[in-house]
Amino acid sequence: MSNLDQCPSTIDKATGSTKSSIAAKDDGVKLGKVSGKKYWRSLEEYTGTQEFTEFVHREFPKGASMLGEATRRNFVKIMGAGFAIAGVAAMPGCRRPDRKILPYSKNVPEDIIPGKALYYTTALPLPGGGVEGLLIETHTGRPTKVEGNPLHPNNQGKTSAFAQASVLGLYDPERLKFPVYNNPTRGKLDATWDDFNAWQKTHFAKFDENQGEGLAFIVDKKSSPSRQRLINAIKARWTKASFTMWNPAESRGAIDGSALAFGSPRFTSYDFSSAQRVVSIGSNFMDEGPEALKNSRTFASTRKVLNSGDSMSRLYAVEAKPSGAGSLADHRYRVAPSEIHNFTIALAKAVFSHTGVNATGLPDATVTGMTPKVIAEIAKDLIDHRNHAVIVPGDDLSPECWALCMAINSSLNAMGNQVTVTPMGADLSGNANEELAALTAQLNAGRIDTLVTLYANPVYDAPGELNFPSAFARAKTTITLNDAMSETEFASTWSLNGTHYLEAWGDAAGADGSLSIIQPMIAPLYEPAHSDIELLSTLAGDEDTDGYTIVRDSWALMGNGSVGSSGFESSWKRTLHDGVKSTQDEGGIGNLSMTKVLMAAARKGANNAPGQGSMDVMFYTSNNNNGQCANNGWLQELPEFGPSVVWDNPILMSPNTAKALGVLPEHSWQDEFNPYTKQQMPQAQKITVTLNGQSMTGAAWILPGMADNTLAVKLGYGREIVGKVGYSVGHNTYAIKPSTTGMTTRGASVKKAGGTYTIASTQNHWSLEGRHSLVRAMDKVWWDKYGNETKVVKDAVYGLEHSTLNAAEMIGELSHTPPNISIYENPMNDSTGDPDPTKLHHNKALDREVPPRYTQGPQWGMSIDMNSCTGCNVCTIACQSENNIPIVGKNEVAKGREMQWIRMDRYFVGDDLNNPDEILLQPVACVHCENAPCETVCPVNATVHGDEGTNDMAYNRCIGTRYCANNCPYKVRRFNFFDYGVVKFNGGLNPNYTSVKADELFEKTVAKDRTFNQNFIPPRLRKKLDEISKMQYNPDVTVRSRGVMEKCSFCIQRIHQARQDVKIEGIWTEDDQVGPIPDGFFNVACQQACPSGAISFGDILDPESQVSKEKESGRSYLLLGYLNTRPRTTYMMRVRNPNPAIRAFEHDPMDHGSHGDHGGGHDTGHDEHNDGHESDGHGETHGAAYIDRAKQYFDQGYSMSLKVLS
Amino acid sequence: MQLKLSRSCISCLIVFITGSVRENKQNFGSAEQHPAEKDARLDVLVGVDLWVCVVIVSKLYPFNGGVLALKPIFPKWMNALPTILFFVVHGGVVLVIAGVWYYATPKFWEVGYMPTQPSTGFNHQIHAGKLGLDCRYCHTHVEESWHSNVPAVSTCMGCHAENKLNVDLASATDEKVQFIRDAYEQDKPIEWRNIHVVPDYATFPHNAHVNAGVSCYSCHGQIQGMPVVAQVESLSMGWCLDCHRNPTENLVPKDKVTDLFWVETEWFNKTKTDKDGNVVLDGAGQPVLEPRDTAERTHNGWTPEELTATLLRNPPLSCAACHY
Repeated sequence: MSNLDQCPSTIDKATGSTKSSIAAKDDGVKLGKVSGKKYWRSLEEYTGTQEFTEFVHREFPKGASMLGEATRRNFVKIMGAGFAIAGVAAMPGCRRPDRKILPYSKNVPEDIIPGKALYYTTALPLPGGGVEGLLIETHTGRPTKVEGNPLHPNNQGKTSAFAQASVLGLYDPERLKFPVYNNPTRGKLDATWDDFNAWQKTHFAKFDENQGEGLAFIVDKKSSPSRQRLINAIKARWTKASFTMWNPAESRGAIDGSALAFGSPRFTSYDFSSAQRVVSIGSNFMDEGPEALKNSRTFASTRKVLNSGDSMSRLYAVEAKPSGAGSLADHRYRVAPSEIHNFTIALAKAVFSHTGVNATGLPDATVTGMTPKVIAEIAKDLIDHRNHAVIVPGDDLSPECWALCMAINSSLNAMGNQVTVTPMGADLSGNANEELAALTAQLNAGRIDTLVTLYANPVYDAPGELNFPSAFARAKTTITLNDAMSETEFASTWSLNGTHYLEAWGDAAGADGSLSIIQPMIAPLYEPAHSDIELLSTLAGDEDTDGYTIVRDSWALMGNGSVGSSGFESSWKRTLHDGVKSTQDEGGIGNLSMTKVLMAAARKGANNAPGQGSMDVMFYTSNNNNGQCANNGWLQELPEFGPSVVWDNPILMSPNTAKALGVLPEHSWQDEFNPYTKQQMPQAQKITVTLNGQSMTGAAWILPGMADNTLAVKLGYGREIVGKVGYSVGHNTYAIKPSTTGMTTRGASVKKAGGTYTIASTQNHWSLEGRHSLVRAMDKVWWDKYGNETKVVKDAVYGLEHSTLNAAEMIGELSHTPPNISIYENPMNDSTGDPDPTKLHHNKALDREVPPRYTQGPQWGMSIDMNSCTGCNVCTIACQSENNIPIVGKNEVAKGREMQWIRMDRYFVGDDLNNPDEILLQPVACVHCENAPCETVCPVNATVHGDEGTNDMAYNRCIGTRYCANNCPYKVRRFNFFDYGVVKFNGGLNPNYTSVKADELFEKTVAKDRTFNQNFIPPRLRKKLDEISKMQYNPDVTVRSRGVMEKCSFCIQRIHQARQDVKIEGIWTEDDQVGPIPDGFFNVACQQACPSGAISFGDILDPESQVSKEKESGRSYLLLGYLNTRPRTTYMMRVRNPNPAIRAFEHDPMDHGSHGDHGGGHDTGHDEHNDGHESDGHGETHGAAYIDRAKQYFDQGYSMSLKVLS
Repeated sequence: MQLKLSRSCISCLIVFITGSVRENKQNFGSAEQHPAEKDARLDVLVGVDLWVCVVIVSKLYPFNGGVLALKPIFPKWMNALPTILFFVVHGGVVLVIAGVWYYATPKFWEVGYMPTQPSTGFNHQIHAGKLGLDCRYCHTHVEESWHSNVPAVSTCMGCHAENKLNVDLASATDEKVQFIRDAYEQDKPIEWRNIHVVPDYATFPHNAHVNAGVSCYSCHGQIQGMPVVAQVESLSMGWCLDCHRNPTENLVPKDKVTDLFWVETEWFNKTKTDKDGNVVLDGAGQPVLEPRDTAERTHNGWTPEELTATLLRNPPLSCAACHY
């Protein structure tokens, strides 16, 4: 808590807070009168409970440095075993290892240069349609890293977290490796594809006679021209065969709504680059949908103000659950899904009253928490910016509501400007739920003889009320193809091993009509394996069932000439190279039928607000993507946006609702006894949710900013048959998903089930308690006033520019800290005694004259824009993938041992726990201080500074004292408590993992040998060295072993690679010693992936580089700059652009009241001010700002330490 | 009785100690030997010998029934014991330090490593020396990649395929290159043994060095004269840093990077002369050669400034230049 977004001395402008009733849980709350805004991340932080205070006072949480269940006896036992094994193991180590070099032999791949990465384009089809263009890094034939394809129109070089993590799925050791035939009498038998082909020829012959009666297919919903062609071929051959395009997380609003508005289903595409006013109505447009990355990019482009007076868009978000869009919104309203409908009607009426559309038929609708005046002001703001205003409806709104939003867009002239529509094919527009329900009825009636399932998992993810597993069992023969183990595979007669998308040819159509070719990066790891199109082609009776031929044939049929012709070959090659063939069609404006939409909306009427007995439920998918990626450890361990929960899917609700239901989370470490062995896992209360007669038991977790009486239910957890990582993680929420509605529904009731459930959440980890101004924000009106202002401060040795504070720095502590004498020798410190940056100095070790540090290029730096970060977490996954960062499992995360180098700090702002004013996001990795506190305390010089300003880790030197982590004010260092990276961590990866059932299911996989903690055994003795998983590792980065500290390295491997390339290519000229690597020549992994371009990286000495320009902006500030650490990563302050008619601007952040005028007051005022900090009367003098006792103590300590230093 | 008991104890102890020493040694030895029985016998022998020694010592210095009648307990020479101990202990410490200093270094352990390569191996002396193949004929990607590749079998087959070379030559070497042809036919790699190993936590980019004018000679020695390749430099971190701190002396013109004979001549083949300028001859009447000073090198016409310019920038000295 306690991050003030303004000058600390102005905090006496108390606004009078309304303390939440929940805060009363703890009597020791010292909120007092809060001025400015309060930033907090969790309930504990908000209330300042004892536990939280204790938590943040420890570098690592209690127990983080303990061995397992660390009693002394255990320790002796463990160490005894360890030494015994080590004794045996050490002996062969005395001989020089005989290392072999195995070059290629007869068949030498032409393009491969050992040691150099090769990049190929491919594409990732998204569930439900759409495609992401990718560029895959391969090392001697094995794909290791996913990057975005810069030429692809949708993502333009950026990626989603899902795409980044997909490469791990390829090397999942528990993938299916060969076909399995379930013999009715003899049980499961290992089989081959030849067996299957022989069998299917006779089996499918009967369908030629009855035109496919009793034959059904379930395929995953995606848009692939080749697959559609083969499906049509099969339909033509067996006319009675049925096809179900299954998408378990399908939202109907956009599809049915567009059918209502435009006459036929359309795909809607947005371009925000020209938008000035945006209203997001229940839409998570920057995280979900086929064009989420494009939306992020175009919307972020309207938010990147650099100078005061720059134009900036305004975003209103009306949503039930905090989303990326909501976090960026200037006005965010939490409204339950039912009432979002009402809001739309009210907004439509307000807008239409200006535009002259007759909307009298629309009912009167009220929205809890929003006055009619607010809605009227929003409407007025939109009308004022007609042609530049756009409404973004959520995909899971009701169709009438969605169509009404398009009607508003139409009357705002957004159609064709910001919104375009393109026809949507029948393969995507079909209603998956209805199709599956129909199929279930057929199955139950016993009319299905053979059911073929391709890359779908309906046995797991069908809505609970269909009871699909029992229906599935009634089909006589079931054939299932998938790349990973699944419930459906396990229940099938023929369980076939399919290819991963990186292993097979395919194609995919983008939402905008562009076509991408999916190019295999590697031959199937478990050959033979077949893709969905290859199996369909086999079943269709084609002669050549090779994926390459199928895709080329399809390509030819799409008007590229016949296969083999020169025109065909050139277009094929060009598309393979580019990865995409863009469409020439620009989307249309559609032909919106206003009267039809208004009539439908009027018929629909207004909704009642949800109540405690009848709650709204919104289903959503997050990291692991409807359950398909459940065995992907990276995605399981990625903190979800909002609650920051990992390895779980608790049911989210607002604090008020949880309190009313009596299910507020508990914390287990309140037990005073035996504090050292007590695990610090937060405990959620178990609840039973009942919806439409189906019920499930889950855990309740609170999320501030949720609408009251609304449950957010994440899909894709609680899988049984998936592998060791995903087994039984969380709860299966498909059990209560209705089969008739989309992702949002009403009428749920919640009962307390009794008992608690452990949740691992990272929201309090790595807190920087007692530090001020980590996140900063300013209203646009003040930004326009002060944005370009700078202030020269005497003795301020730590500003961005020498002794100069910009607007963002002025609202932090920096202008209030006393003179600071650095113990670091740094020419940039500007203090006497430091070397002159313009002169050469004698270096004793080298015995020659050298320029002082940090004065020769390149000097690397990073800038992170908090105005465009949407919290999508892709940076974390990209970093994990690039830098071989291990996963640690739920238990370890709960102990605070997560290893991700980038953490996404999420701050709620304001005094109301239930309804925070805004949400601020701040990705924090190592900030690479020039005066790095970690370096001075390392006893072995394992962390030292590089010539180019990077703070480096020499892993082989590290002895694991963890002093550096203790001394790091940013808490960005991660410690390998175990050999997480060497083998797949097996000691508590998944606490729900029980061996009995799993062994039965995976007797042929690595699920054995789980009886003791493998991490205590030296790596070379481990039987289960996971050779396949190792293939994903980036060969350019060391895999760290146990006992080694690690942290963000600024992707030093990419820096070196770029430097060598530049040298060898001759771009680095002799006389150009400064800034020799051109800006943009390479990207670091997080920057490369960030869809909104919030991260920029480059040479800060090059004035033309993007990062230099951002650092020059008045929004740029240093994290904890007053410590004089001189971090190289700077953050750009959030600028809010609220509507003055709705919310008054905050008071002037530079108004110093009693301090006199802004300009001169500070230079002279330091000493008095410092005294003020020290005196106990500080609170009274300044009208009682938020200062708690502990914090005040720290302040005193800080002041005293400065006195000692000076 | 007591005496006997203690003597037995001592000898048992000795047997035990020597036995365990033998045992430990055994573990370090080659796995092929199994002389466990022989060793047990040896231990017994050693034990008996030492027991005899103890007996003799006790005869020389008898003590009768615990009464040390007239003889002093300690002999006179033991007065010098502190002095002796002082020198022994200090000398021991010095010896240990000197031992570690000398032996526990890559220079001692790594230099001279010359493993036997599969089959007849590859003779760099013939190919790179006599026949004059450029290094890059086989190590094709040394200028582009951090990794200097070992050639594929197909590269060998470019010359050693049957009927490819001069008939006489081919027949002379037919047997020796059969393993290449076998590997090629089976499309299996030849398992060459790695000699120059930089640990996994250190990165050595060949491309950056070769393009900056660091000759192969600097790290690999006169490889064109080696029938069997051995390691000649320690490849230790200190050795790397020596060059990184003072790179200019180790640079050669870029066109001479792979011409190791030229490099050797340039750096070392200076004819030694005496004060009067006469060539010094060795016993066989050949002129004695000595290293050439940096200032006397010809650089094949390049100026020292031009040489330094090939670096483009001073070689990095920070940890993360190699460790990441």
